[in-house]
Amino acid sequence: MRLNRPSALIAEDEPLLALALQAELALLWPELTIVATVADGRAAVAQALAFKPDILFFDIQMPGLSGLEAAADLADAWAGDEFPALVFVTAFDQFALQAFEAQAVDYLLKPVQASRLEKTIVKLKQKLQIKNRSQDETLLQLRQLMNAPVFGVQPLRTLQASSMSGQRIHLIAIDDVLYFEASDKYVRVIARLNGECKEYLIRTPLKDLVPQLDAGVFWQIHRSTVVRSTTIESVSRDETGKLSVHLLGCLDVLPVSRLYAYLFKAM
Amino acid sequence: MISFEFWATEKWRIVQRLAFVWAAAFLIAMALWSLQSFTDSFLVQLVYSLAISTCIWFLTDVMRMALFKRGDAPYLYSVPIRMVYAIIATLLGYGLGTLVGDAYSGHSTFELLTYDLNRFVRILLISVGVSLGFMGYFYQKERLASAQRQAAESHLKLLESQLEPHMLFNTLANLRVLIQTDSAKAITMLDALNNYLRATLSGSRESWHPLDNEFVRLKDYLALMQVRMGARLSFTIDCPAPLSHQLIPPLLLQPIVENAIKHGLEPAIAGGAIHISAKQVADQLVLSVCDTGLGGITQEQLDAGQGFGLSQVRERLATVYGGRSQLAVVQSAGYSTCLQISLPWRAAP
Repeated sequence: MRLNRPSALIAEDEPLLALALQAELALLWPELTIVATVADGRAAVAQALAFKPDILFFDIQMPGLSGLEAAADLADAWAGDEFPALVFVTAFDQFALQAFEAQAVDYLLKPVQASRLEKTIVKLKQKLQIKNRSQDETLLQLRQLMNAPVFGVQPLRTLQASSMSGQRIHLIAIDDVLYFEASDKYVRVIARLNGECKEYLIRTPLKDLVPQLDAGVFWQIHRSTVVRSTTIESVSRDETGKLSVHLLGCLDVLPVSRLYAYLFKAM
Repeated sequence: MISFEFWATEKWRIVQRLAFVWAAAFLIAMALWSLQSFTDSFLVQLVYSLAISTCIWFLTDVMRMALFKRGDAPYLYSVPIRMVYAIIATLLGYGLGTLVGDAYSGHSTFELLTYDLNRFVRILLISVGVSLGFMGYFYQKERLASAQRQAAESHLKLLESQLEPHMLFNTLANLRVLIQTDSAKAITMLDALNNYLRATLSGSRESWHPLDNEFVRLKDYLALMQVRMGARLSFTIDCPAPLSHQLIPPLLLQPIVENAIKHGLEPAIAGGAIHISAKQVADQLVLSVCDTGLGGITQEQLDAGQGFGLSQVRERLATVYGGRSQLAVVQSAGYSTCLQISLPWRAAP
């Protein structure tokens, strides 16, 4: 039944462009049903989970979460059924385009032109034919896209972080840091100093911080968590299959997202 | 402290200058030789001249770069410190060069001090005068080149930020939709884009324009953004009539408004409002850009030069007004971010 009436979700923050994509799709692929059109990343995740469409058209630059982040969050929360086919839509982003090409991820350039959209539709139709599409391939692609190397970044040796009260600036050696956790406006830095776990704040966004860290030492285990691998004591799995990391010395338990679950496999 | 890293980039310039200095030294030797009615040997005169000019040049010009300059950065020390250094280096260079000349000719110039003070002072003054002339000339030339380079760089940065491809392609994508669905609105949008591009491309060439022009340009830009963002963006522009002829550098506010959209409103799911206004406070023109977006920059971040567009605004203010202007984060009821520029009063002629 699904194959007869494929469904799609459009996430695009510019209302005219969302309408235009919908109109072009109606013209070129009349059987496709648009189950929802949303204007931000969080709504995209929520609506995709509610409707479970076959195809997702995700704009890259959206408020709330970017298209890539939304896709990763969705992959994390997705249960059971086949994961939707992803198509990213972007106006201009040289680096993203190169990454998309390299990962063979479908993308559309704005303004979306009919001839290009037709090609994408042909590919999508082929993809929908394949039964039991596994989520693993999408996860792998997303992982590669989100960890695309950034060149020309100097490794970070010390952090200038403020204390929780914000009264002081502390210099913290990277070697003392146990993990980073992104919260709303800040990144929390948990460091071990004199055997004690202490918490500090920095303003640099996690995504700018990650390229400056040694990827062999610090592992990203969640969209908002980067942890020192040698400080991980054990990893546990709950009844729903979610992984959590337990740290040496500190009592903190950190969730592992499905995107990064591949890091923890029994040898 | 001494760094010869300039050698890699300045090699040819230095060789060129050395040739220049030697040519001048040759002419000076000829002149001195003729002044002394060709009594001394020309070769002796030439050795003195070459030795003194080379020593002075090396200590002032080459060492100046090694001591005071790191790559393309401005000089490390202030003008008075460099002047004192130049005088000491010139005297030292003169002394060293004279010793070399004395070693060749076999007399001692410094003995002149004891019996012909006038002649000694004359030679010293000629040497110092000529070398100061050279230094001034080299210094001016270098300053001009670096000023030109800086102007070109900031011009390019301004253009790059205003002709940002993401903005352009999204605008064109919207335009493409409107052509099919609402051609009247498409024409309005095309006109706004046209004005925006014209202002961007010519604005960087003029040095002043009236405030009402600035506000019309901002309105074009915001109108473009409004088509793209729909109901998520609203804006108000308030320019009291008596202020409309005040002159300001073109598109001074543009990066601030762009920042408000990019960091304040675009990432906010519900969007928000921008308010742009001008007022007179004592003898200053005060322009402010406020938004109700996510709220971003603090005064410390501003002072630390964060925010690409904003550091560019600060640089521009510093170049145009020196210390007589100010860019600050202020608090304003009802807005999450407010940036304020205070400028000296400058009415249209």
